[in-house]
Amino acid sequence: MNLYAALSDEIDPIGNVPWFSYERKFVRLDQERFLAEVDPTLFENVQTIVNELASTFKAQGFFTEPPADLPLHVPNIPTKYHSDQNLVQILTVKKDYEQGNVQLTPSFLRVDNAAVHLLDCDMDEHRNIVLHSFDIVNHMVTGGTSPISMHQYIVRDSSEAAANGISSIDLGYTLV
Amino acid sequence: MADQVRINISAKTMEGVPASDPEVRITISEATGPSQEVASVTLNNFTGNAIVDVTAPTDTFPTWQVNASFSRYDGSHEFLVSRLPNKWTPSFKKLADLPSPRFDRLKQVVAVSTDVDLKNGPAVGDLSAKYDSPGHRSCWQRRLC
Repeated sequence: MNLYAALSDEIDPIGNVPWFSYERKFVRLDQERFLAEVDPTLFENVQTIVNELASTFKAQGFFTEPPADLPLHVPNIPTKYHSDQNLVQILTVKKDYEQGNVQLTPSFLRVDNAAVHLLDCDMDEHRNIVLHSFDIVNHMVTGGTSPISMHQYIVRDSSEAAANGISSIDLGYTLV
Repeated sequence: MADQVRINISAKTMEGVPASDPEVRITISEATGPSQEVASVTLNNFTGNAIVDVTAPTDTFPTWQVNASFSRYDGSHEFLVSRLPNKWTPSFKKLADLPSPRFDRLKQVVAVSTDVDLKNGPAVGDLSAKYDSPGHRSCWQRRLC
């Protein structure tokens, strides 16, 4: 739900639509991460952002990670897609939104001769890229980014955007 | 003669609701001089507002720093509080109760997500059918946040 909030509010700068509008169906859930089958347009637009990162999109806050880190995302793909045989290409791009550091990792697979595009999306509570490697170590211990902390980031962003300083965002859940 | 000082403590969450907390500790110390502690008060079952009466020792400096520490929040001096992750549990609205239009797109995607699993966890299957299932949710509710 935190990711839905972020991806519904934040816009693909190429398609000019919310990132979530490309989702077709969820295939895997995890703490502060989901994988979904998506419209090919998302893959193409992330490809454009990566290709034009230095010339255009870095100034908009996008960045990526070293190519050597991309294989870390492959095990997130459900085994039913047989990524070991079917993965054609995988990309990743990150952006520091006020709600947290969102990472979009789309992949292109050929499954039974049909094109499948997946999105592996996750959100980090620490927005300093230098600290990300420490996050990964920490996540192995804690099971992932704290969704409660992400809730606080999102509510804070909403409260700061409101004239009265009171958050009005509906995340579909409350904390008790 | 010692002075009697009344301090009104008020705290809200970022959603604007009173920040209830089972134990709030208020410490008052000198802002100048030797910074000695003037008073310390524990508020049990704090409901967002409290009045603290402090008897000021005669030998303290007149400007005080009032600090509050919460057991369920990470508070600042302005009492804008953040939740401590391990003290809170999510409570989800039922899928049908998620308001339109904000959640329309999510409902559309959930409705066709019939073969979902959890990373390193059990299969969920039909997300739409399982969304409101409290028994199943107990093992994956934090992943749904």
